[in-house]
Amino acid sequence: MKKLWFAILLSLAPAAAAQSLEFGVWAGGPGLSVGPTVNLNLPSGDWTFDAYLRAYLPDSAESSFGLGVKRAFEAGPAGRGELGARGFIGMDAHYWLEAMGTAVLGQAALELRGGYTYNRTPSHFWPLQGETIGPYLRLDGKFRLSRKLTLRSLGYFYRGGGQLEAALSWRVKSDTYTLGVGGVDRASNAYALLGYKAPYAGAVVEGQIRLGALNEFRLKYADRSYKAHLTLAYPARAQVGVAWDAWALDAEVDGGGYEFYLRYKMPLEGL
Amino acid sequence: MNKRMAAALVVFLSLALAQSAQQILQESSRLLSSGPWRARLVGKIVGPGGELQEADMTVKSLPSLKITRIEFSKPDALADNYLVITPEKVYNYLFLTNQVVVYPRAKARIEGLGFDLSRMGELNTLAERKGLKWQRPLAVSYDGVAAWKLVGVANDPQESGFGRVEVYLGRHDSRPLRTAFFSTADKLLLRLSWREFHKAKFNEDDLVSFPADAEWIKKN
Repeated sequence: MKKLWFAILLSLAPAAAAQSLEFGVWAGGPGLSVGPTVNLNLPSGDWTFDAYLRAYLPDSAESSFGLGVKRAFEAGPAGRGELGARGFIGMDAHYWLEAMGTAVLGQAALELRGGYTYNRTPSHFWPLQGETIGPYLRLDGKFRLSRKLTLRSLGYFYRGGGQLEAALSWRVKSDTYTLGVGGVDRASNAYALLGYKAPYAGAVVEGQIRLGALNEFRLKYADRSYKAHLTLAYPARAQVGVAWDAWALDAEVDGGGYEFYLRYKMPLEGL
Repeated sequence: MNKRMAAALVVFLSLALAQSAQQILQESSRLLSSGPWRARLVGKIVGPGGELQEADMTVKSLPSLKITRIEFSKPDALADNYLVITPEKVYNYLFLTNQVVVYPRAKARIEGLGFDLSRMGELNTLAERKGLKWQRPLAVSYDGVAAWKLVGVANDPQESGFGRVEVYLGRHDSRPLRTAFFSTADKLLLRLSWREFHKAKFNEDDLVSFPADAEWIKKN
C-alpha cells in the first residue's frame, strides 16, 4: 500500500512545477455521455509540456490519454513561432496525432496544423476539436500589405472535403472591414465573406457572415472580463461559448447531437 | 607670478564651476522623473541581423510607477506593435496576431530589435550607472538649440550591451534631444532624436492597456 502511495505521489511531482491544471466536464449526445477531463500544463523555458486525461462514461473503453509538447522560438524582425506535436490514445486503441507550427515573420503570420484521427471523431478524444476522421491539414495565413491592409487566407483539407478562403481586411481608424471569397469541396461551391470589427464601449465586437455554399454568421465579443462567441449556421448548427476569469463554457448543437464543455483552469504558479 | 596664480585660479574655478556629465544627466533625470511625459522618437535602430532600420515610436512614461509604453510606427515589421515595460514585467503586443506576450522583466526579449530597447526607459539612470566613464561635457548646438553633448564609454561592454553612448541634452531646459548607442566596434546600435517632448496626464490604466480580444501568452 505504501508503495502505491509513493508511486502516486511521484506521479504528481510534475504538478508542483506546473503552471496550470485544467479541470473540465464534457457532455455529449445523442444520449448522454459524460467525460471528466484534466489537462496539466507545464512550461519550462521555451518548452511547454501538456498531459491530458479524459475519462468517458458510461463507456469507459473510450477514455483517452494524451501528451503534448511544443517549443517556442524567436527570430527575425518581429519573429516568433512555435513547433509542437500531441498525441492521444484511447483504451479501445483509437488514436489522434497532430503536429503544428506557427510563425510570425515580420509582416506575415502562418499557422500550419496537420493530423490524423483513427476510429473516432476527434471530439471523443478531446472536447471541441472539430469533426474530421482520417488525415487533415489546415493552413492559416495573414499578410500585412500595408498598415491599413491585411490579406488573410485559409486552406483546410480533410478526407472527403476541403475549404479555401481568401479575404482582405482594411482599417479605417479603429474599425476593420473584411471582404472575401471562399469555396468548399469544389470551386463551384463558392461563398462570400463580409466582416466588421470595431471597439465599442471598452470592448471589441466582431461580426462575420458567410453566404453561398457556406451559410454562417459569427459574432465575437470581448471586454476586460468576458470573451464570448456565437456561431449560427445553415444547415442547422449553433455554437456558443463564453470565458470569464479562469472559467470557460462552450456548447454546440447540430443535427447529429450536442456537445457541452465546462472547464476551469487552476493556476499553480508558486506552489 | 601673480599672473600665473591668477591663471591657475581661473582654471581651478572653471573646473569647479563646470557641470559634470553626471550633474547634467541628473538634471535631465529630474525632468524625466518629475511627472508623466510623452515624446516621439525618430531615427535608426539596429535589427536582429545587424542591419539598421528606420525607427519611429511614441514613448509614454509614468515615472512614479516606473511604467513606460513604446508604440511603434516604424520599422514596418513592428508597426502598430507596442511594448509596455513595468518594474516586474514586459508586455509585447503583436498587432498581426493580436497577441500579448508577457515576459518577466529580467528575461524580456524584444523581437525585431538587435538592441535591448527596454533599457531606453533607463536613460535617467545613466548618470548613476557604474562601469560608465563620462567625458567632459561639450557645449554644442543641436538643430539650432543650445545643447550639451555627453559621451560615456562603457568599461565592460559585455555587461552594458554597448561600447559608447552619446546623449544630447538641452542646455536651458535639460530635455533630451538625441540618444545614440554604439557597439565596441563603434557601430551604431541606436540613434533616436527626441521630438514633440511634452508633459502629459497618464495613469497606469492608460499605459498598461491592451485590446480586449487579444490572446495572452505568458513566458516564464
